[in-house]
Amino acid sequence: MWTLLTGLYQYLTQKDDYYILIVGLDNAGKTTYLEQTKTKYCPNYKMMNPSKITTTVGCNIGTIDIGNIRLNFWDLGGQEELQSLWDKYYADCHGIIYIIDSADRERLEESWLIFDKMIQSEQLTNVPLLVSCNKQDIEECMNVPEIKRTFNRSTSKIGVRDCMVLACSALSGDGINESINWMKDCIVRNSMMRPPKRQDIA
Amino acid sequence: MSGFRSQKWDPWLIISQIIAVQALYYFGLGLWLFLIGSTFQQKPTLDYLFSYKILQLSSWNERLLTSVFLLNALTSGFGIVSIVGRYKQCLDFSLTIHFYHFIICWMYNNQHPNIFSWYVIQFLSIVIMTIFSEHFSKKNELRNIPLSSRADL
Repeated sequence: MWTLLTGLYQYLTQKDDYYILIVGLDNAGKTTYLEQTKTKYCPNYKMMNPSKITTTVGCNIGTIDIGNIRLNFWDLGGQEELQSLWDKYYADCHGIIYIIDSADRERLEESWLIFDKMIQSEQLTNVPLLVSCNKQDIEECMNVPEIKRTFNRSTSKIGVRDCMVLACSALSGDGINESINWMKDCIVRNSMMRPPKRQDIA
Repeated sequence: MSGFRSQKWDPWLIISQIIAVQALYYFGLGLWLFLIGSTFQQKPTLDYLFSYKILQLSSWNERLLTSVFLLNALTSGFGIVSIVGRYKQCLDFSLTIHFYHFIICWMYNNQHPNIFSWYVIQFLSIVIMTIFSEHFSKKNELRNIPLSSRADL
């Protein structure tokens, strides 16, 4: 009877589970972004030393609880060979965060090409999109209007979904709170189209 | 492979398992009572199963009766292994059986059990049932899984 009662308790107190994908070119700062998010939203979480964060092979997962929902993050590796894995996650995710390295001028075009390709996927229609211009703490980085100029060529493909461009700095933690709150509101608003994963009874 | 259990919480399965195991417990009690109690030359009544006075352990007859309960713990343990078969849930089901038996005894006697030996017997019964069922379900769960490939591993 104990398993019956604990199962009932967990079923009644379960939170809605939403999944957010963090993608971008390699070295854009996705893993640092995830670590910073976990630090801000989980009490007692000790962030990894940023200098120890290396290239992600595969995926990093993080979970935070906001209010009565639970957000799960999938931070995928951005290297070219790993980009073919991204589309496997599109069908199950509820939101996308695209991270751009604002200090890397030479690879901005490359970043835009990947972004364009990702936007066109049919499994991502109506999924809220947040474009995060990372590394704003570096002196000679590009600012948001400059980056928008390159990325505006995809506006028609973005379509009706919620989309926002924000500046942030994963190392210092600026801009992360607004980003996550915005993403959470959009996902909840979009939950008719993409419902959360709830644990059902067999 | 539809043989493996479902990962979700399945309340109907658990409820039906509780009912099945409880029924098996009382069936086993009746069976052992019939086998061992035939030495009494009296018709076995429900009194033997549920009443407290019987278990006062003051006479050899009553001491023989406690063996009914303890033997039944073994058969019920076997019942738990075959119906549930999960090591994690053995203690859970064993305690559930005795909990419902406690409730039924209370209703039958209209008072809570006031005989110390009743508690001792129930405790021993729980211990025997749990250890027995855990031992065999552990053995079951740690069996080798036969693979159909011919590769030499």
